[in-house]
Amino acid sequence: MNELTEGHTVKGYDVDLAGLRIKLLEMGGLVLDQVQRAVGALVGADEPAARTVLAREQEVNDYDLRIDEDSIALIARRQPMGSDLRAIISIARTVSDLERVGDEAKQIAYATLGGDAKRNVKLSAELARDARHMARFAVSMLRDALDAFDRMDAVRAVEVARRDAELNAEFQSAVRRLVTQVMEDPRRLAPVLDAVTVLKALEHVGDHAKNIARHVLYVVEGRDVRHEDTNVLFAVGDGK
Amino acid sequence: MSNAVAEERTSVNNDAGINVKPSHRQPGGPDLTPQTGAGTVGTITVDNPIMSSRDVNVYYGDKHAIKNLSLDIARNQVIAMIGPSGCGKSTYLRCLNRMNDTIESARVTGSITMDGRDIYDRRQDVVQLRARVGMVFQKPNPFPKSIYENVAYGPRIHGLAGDRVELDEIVQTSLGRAGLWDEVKDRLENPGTSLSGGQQQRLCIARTIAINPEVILMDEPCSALDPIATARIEDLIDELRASYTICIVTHSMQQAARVSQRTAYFHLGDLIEVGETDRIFTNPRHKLTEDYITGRFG
Repeated sequence: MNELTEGHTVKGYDVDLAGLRIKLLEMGGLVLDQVQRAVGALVGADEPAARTVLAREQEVNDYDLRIDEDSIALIARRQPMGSDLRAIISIARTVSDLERVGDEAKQIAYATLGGDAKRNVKLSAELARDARHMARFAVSMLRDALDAFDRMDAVRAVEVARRDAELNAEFQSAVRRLVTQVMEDPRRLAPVLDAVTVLKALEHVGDHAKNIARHVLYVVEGRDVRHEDTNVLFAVGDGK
Repeated sequence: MSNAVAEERTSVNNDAGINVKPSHRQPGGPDLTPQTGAGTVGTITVDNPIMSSRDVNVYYGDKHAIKNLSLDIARNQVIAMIGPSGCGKSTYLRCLNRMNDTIESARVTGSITMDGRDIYDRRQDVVQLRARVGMVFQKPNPFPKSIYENVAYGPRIHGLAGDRVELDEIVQTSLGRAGLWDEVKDRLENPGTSLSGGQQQRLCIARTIAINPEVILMDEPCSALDPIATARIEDLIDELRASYTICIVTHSMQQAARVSQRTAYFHLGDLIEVGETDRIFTNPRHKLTEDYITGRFG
């Protein structure tokens, strides 16, 4: 966002945008940490760690409210145009995506604590492996998407968006394995449903990373690609 | 540019099988195909333009104030001209009703047509032109006459009213269209200068439309007005475009975004970019336009 936070003749404008950028990075770091902690707690059946995640959810919400408030104030104060306007809208949308990622982390933490049914999700070794693998993949997608947003790198953003297909495929095969378990032993249905909830949450994290990548394209190129097929997405200026 | 040469260039392109923009020759009029390189980003042409400029250059003595400008003005639309001080937007506006004629050192080359006829043709009656292409200025300038006379003066000297009854009707209609009738109908004999700034400006607009123009040029019409008076004039501009074509020069980007459907960005005498207003302000194509609208003035 260097170009965006620089160059305004009214320097206060640069300061406003730089402030938003910092808060956005902080929120991104926080939710990435939340997802990783939540998955770690699940795999290690670590209830205290899961409770920490739930406790920090409030921090995520605070960032959501604060950044939104600052964004709206900036619109009123500066009447942004052109790339500034697209950037501020995209920051607001990205914050919304990050807040949802925070919610997904919360879902995973709930699963460790047995959720509403107080049922402990006893993870089979296989499921633990699937969860760890999907988590690594989703977290790296999110981290790369936030990096692409911070640097306003459209080429990188497209590359991130395209990875979502692979994450979805991982999810589908993990679910197939779980379904097999239920078919072999119907008593496994309840815990498997909980497991699917966890894997679905991770799949959602990937979706939000993809959204953030799309927001980058909107800022950089002015193209609203929110409903386009990511397999055919491209960045203008991308040599491919 | 002679017609023969223009035709030759068009046919050469066709032989090469290249798809070229059709040359903009209005029947019986001058060839309007731009001669110079297309430096302007965006589509300078429109269908059935009311006025067309091609390869216009304006000099004030040695100063090259407008450089190779080509632009169509669309009917019943508001086009805003924006850009920093000295960029040429007001100079260009003044070309459209030949107000630059009044400036000793000014020289205008190229072609500016209205409905296909060159307005700089020797046979063009400038007074008639200025009746068809009216102008409203930054500082409201009512005549030192009554409100009634301010509006009646133009129609009277142009012979637009047969008798007093018709003249009264023109005055009432014009003041009505300018959103001023209700406020002044009971004091038409009062001097025009007794009105507030915003009212004076609306009086000047009424005066302009009283002689039935086709185009209304506005040079920063709201600069001297408060936000409320400005809002009333912007609302009026929105109503007027149903009947007239409006070209407005403004220092305020926000105003340009609010009132216009098309925006042209000028920079140091060049027309940098022109396009649909919404797009110019959300996603301009030229870096100079982007820098200007985002407040990155360098």
